[in-house]
Amino acid sequence: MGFQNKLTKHSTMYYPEETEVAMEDIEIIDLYWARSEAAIAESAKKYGRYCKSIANNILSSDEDSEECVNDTWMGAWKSMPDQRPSRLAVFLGKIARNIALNKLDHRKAKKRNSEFDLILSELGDCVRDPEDVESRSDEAETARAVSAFLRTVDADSRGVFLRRYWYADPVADIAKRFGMSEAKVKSMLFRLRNKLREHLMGEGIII
Amino acid sequence: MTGIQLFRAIGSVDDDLVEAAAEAKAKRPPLKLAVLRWAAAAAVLALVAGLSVSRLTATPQLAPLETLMDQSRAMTMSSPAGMRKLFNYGGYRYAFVGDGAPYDFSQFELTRSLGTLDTDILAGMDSGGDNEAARADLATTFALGGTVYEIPGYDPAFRLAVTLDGQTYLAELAGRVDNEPLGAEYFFTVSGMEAAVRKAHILPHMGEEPLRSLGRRDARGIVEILSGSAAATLTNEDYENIARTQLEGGSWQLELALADGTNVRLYVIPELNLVSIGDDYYTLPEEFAEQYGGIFEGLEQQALPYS
Repeated sequence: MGFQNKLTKHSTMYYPEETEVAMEDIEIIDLYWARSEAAIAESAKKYGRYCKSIANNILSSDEDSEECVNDTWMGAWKSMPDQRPSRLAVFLGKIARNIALNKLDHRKAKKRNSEFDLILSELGDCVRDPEDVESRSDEAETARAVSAFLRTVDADSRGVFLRRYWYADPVADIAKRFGMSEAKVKSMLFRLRNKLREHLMGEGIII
Repeated sequence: MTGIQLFRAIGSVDDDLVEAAAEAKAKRPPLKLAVLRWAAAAAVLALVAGLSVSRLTATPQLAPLETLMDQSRAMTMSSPAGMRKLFNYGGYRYAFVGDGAPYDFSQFELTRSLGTLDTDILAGMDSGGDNEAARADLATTFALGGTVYEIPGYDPAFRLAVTLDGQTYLAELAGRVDNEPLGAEYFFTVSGMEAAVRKAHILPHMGEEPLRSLGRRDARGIVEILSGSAAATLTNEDYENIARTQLEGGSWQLELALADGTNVRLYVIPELNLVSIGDDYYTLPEEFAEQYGGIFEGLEQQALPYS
C-alpha cells in the first residue's frame, strides 16, 4: 500500500476534494527532475491541503497560507533535481513549514496567532532561559537530539509530540485524532516536554 | 535557545518520524466533545467559591466596592453554617462572590440580560419537604428579583452579574444543579486557564499571605496535570478525614494568578490526594505528586480553630 492510500484512508486533510486519483510520489518527483511544470500542478493536487494546513497552523491566515503553499512548490522546484526526496510529503511539508515560519517572522509585529504563540511558549518552557537567544547548538544537532529522544518514547507519545510541535496542530485536533481527552493530550505533552528538557540538558544542548 | 529555535529544530527531525505522525490516528473512539462544548456554554470555574477577583489590567476593572475578603475566604470547603448566596442558571449553580458584596461595574455596560431571579430557594426550605425550588432555574438564595446579566468581556459560563436596587453583584460558577461534578477538564479547558495562568502561590487554608510562589512554567504544569483530575467518590469516612486534615493544617490554598490580574483558588489536600474544584472534590493525578508533591513540603500553618 502506498503512502497516498494510507493518507486517503486515515485523514481528510491531505487531499483536495477531487476524486481524481493523485499521481504516485515517484512520478511527481520525476516531473520535477524533468523540469516539467506539471510537477507543480500534481504537487498542488496531492499535497496542497496538507501544506496549507501546516502553514495555516503557524500563520492562522488563509491568504498567507495560500502564498506559503505557492512558495512551497517554488521551493521544491529549486531543490530538485539536486535532491530526490524519499518522502515527498515530508519534504514538501518541511518547505511549507519553514516558509511559514519565515513569513511569521516578517509579520510578527502585525498579527498574532495565539494558538501558535502558545506552542512556542510551551517549547520555550523546555529551555532554562527563554530570553537566551544564544543557542549553544546548531539546529541540526538539536534535531538529531530530538529525534533520538523521540525514539525512546512510545508511538502515541511520539505522534502527539510531533502533531503538536512539528505540524503545530491545536490540542483539540490532536485529542480528536488520537481519541484522547484534551486534558490527557496536555498532560502527555507536559511530561514529554519535561523529559525532552532533561534529554537536551543531558546532551549539553541546553544549559 | 528560544521556543521558536526549538520549533525550527524540530522541523528537521528524522523524516520517518514525521511521516509516522502524519499517519497517526485514533485507536480509541474520541470523547463526546459535544457534551463538553455544551457544558462550556453553561458555566465554568468554581473552585469551592474560592475564586477571588482582584484587578483587571487589559480590561476594565472589576472590583468590590468594599473589602470583603474575609467573608469570601469563609466560603471554602469547610464553610461555616448558613446558607450560601447563590442562584441557578442554565443547570449550573453560581455563587455570589464575596458573599454577596456589591461590585463596581461602572466600567461595564450591562446590556444583555438573561433573566430575573424569581424563585426564592429559602422560602421553599421554610415550607419543608422536597425543595423543588432549589433546583429551579433562576432560583436564588440572595438578591431575589435581581436581573442576571452577561458581563462584557467575560464568558457567561464563567461569570455573571446580578443587579438589584442599584447594586450590582458578581457571581461565579460553583457547581451543577444536579450535583454532578463539573469535571476538572471542563473547568480548565473552558476557562482557558492554561494559557492565562502566570504564577501559582500556595497559601494557608484560611490565610492571605503566600507561603511559596511558583513561576509560569510550573503554574502551567500544575494546571495541565490538574485538568486530568477525576471526580472523587467520597464516603462519610472520607469526608471526616477531609475535615480532620483541614483542622490539622493539611489543606492548602493553591492560588493561580492569571494574566488579566484575577486569581483563582483551589484547595489541595496532599495527604489525601484531593483537590477541590468548584463544589466538588477530585482525585489528584499521580503526576501531581511526582511533579509537584514537593511544593507543599516544609510549609507550616496553624491548625484551624474548632467551631
